[in-house]
Amino acid sequence: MKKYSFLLFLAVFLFSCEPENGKDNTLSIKFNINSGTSPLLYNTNYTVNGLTIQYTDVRFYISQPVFSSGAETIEFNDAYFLGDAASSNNTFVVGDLGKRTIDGIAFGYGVDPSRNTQAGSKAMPAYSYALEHALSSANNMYWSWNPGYIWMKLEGRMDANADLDFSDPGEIFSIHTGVDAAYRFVSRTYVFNMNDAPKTIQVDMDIDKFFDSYNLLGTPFAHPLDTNASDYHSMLYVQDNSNLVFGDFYE
Amino acid sequence: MNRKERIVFLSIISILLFSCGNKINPDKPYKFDLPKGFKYPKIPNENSITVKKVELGKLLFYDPILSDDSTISCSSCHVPELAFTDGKKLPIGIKGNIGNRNSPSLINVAYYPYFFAEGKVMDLETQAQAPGLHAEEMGSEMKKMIYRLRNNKFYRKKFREIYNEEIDVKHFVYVLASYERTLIAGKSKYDRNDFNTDEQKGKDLFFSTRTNCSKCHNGNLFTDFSFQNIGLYEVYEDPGLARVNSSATDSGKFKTPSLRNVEYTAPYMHDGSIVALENVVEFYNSGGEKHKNKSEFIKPLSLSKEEKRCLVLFLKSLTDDDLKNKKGVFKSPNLIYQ
Repeated sequence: MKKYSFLLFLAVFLFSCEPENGKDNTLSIKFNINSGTSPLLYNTNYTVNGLTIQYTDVRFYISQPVFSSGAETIEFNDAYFLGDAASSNNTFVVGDLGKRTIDGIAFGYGVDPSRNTQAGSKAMPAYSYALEHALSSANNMYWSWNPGYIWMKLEGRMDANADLDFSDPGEIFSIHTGVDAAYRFVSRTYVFNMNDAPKTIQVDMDIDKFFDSYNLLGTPFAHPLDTNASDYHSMLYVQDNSNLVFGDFYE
Repeated sequence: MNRKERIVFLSIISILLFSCGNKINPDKPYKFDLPKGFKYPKIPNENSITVKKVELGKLLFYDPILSDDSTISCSSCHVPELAFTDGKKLPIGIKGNIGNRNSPSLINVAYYPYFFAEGKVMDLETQAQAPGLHAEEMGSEMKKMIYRLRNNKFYRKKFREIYNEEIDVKHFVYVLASYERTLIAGKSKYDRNDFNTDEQKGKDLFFSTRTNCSKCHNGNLFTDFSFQNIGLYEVYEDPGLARVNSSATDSGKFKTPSLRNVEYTAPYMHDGSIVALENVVEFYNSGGEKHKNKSEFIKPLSLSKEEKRCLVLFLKSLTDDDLKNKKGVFKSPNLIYQ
């Protein structure tokens, strides 16, 4: 009798975690963070717009992925991911899309206004997210003295006077994006099938393209706190370049 | 109930009662010992104040485990015997990093409507995490700090007594904020209306339209929490409130600080640039530097030497009796961490 009880318990335990129909259509997106076409490494020389730079901190939020399937849209309004160039695994486990053909993907680059500041409709204090959650204040991506998230930290050094030394005064750059008005979606057409099995798709990012046509020497620092800030438009320029940063999706 | 049942019932009750004999109920509310004239502070619904939370918050406040290299604690910059300031021009964080603002007092923060010199942090819980996230203060690795607490047998047990779940950021800020809310003090000569002749003269000057001190330093905490440019500089290195709202008209404006215990909170101003209380009075007497945002209340006062002396004496009458005697909240505790 005891043996049957144990087997029953084991069966309940094993099968209780399966999706309702027993099929798993979980989609993950792997972000390959590159400088050009090579994996971005910190404290390594890269040439961007003729300027030699080194990255020291590259982190960014992806939020609210949306998928189109013909006339239908599948939204994940509570899904957030914090990408980090220092991490070897930048895979965003989005959720179950169900068995269907997907023909388009869009996602927010940053934290959407519903959760970005405490004025958002779904806002909760950053300290109340679990430590492992992308939005936890422990990730040090939250401005507590100007409540709101830093959507992207793009920090490093530049060899402004081309002397092969990055420690001269004024050779640090630091771009922090944020501010609700600058929230942007990146969208791509990409057809793939979810066919009752988990799937991971990939997208390459070229971080250098944030500086496309941007005068890094002239404006190496942009941490705007609102739309009135003098450095808001510089930040917006970088944020708008997010559309150039992402390549096409592939499996 | 027969005799046998009664014995069993009483035995169970006895076991239940005595097994908890030396333990504090984790939900036992903290009872404030409020000075006369002090209202019961606002406590957020999600962080009810309990004895256990206050005790644990106190332990953490004095424990260097919170800093990245375990060299400094909250109390390194907020020393009880200095009214929870540090006596330094600017605070010194880990690895000798120097902060950019003079350490503010924590006394009576339970009544503050907002925090930091720009006043953009609206609750003590959010404030409590900030020093741990600043590289120049305690480091910038909150995640590592929480893991350090999770891996510490003593704290794991302490937090579990309250929350019965894995330590997280919210638990940490809840207990720290709970302790900070208990730092209430208001027993001074001023509170007893016990002034000698010179102090009374200083008081009359302080509350007069001649000096305008009380235009901003008023109420029970001697601050209206307004943001003022007092003309400390013609050109401010630190933009103050403009740092967060980018407004040129707010450049050089900082939150008005409480003057309670001001005798012990030297050096003064947002950057600790004025060494002594006498110099502060001298600064206000001069009318400050020219600045387009300077408060209309700051103007040359033409105070006599005697008047300045009396004003200083009045300010010293705001010192808490316990602070003078290094008692109560103003005494560094001897805590046992094991």
